[in-house]
Amino acid sequence: MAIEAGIPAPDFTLASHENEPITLSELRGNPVVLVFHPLSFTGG
Amino acid sequence: MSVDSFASQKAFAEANGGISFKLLADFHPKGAVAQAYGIYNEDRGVAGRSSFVIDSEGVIQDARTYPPGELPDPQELLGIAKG
Repeated sequence: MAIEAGIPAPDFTLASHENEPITLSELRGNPVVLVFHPLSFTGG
Repeated sequence: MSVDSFASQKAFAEANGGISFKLLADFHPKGAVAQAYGIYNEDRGVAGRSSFVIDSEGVIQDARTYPPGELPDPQELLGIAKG
């Protein structure tokens, strides 16, 4: 089950397409929109 | 984000004429963040299409999953994010 509104977002650090590390918790103070998609270069 | 590698995401960004947001690679360990958010599809080994709006305190404000053929509405999500 997907996590729901009202709970703290799980933190992570991932590389961006520009190969820079992005850490969610370092964006605190600004709203963030996360969108997951299955695979790039596909319509799926 | 997706389970694609950094190199694949870079190519995807360039193929789309450059993008104005960060495309993140949930690649190693594969799908770890998708699993943390509860939207990892174990059978296919990919993230399920989904969106999460996180407020400035780091709390999830809006969580959605999308059936096949349905896409997130970026303007709507940004509207929620901006309050």
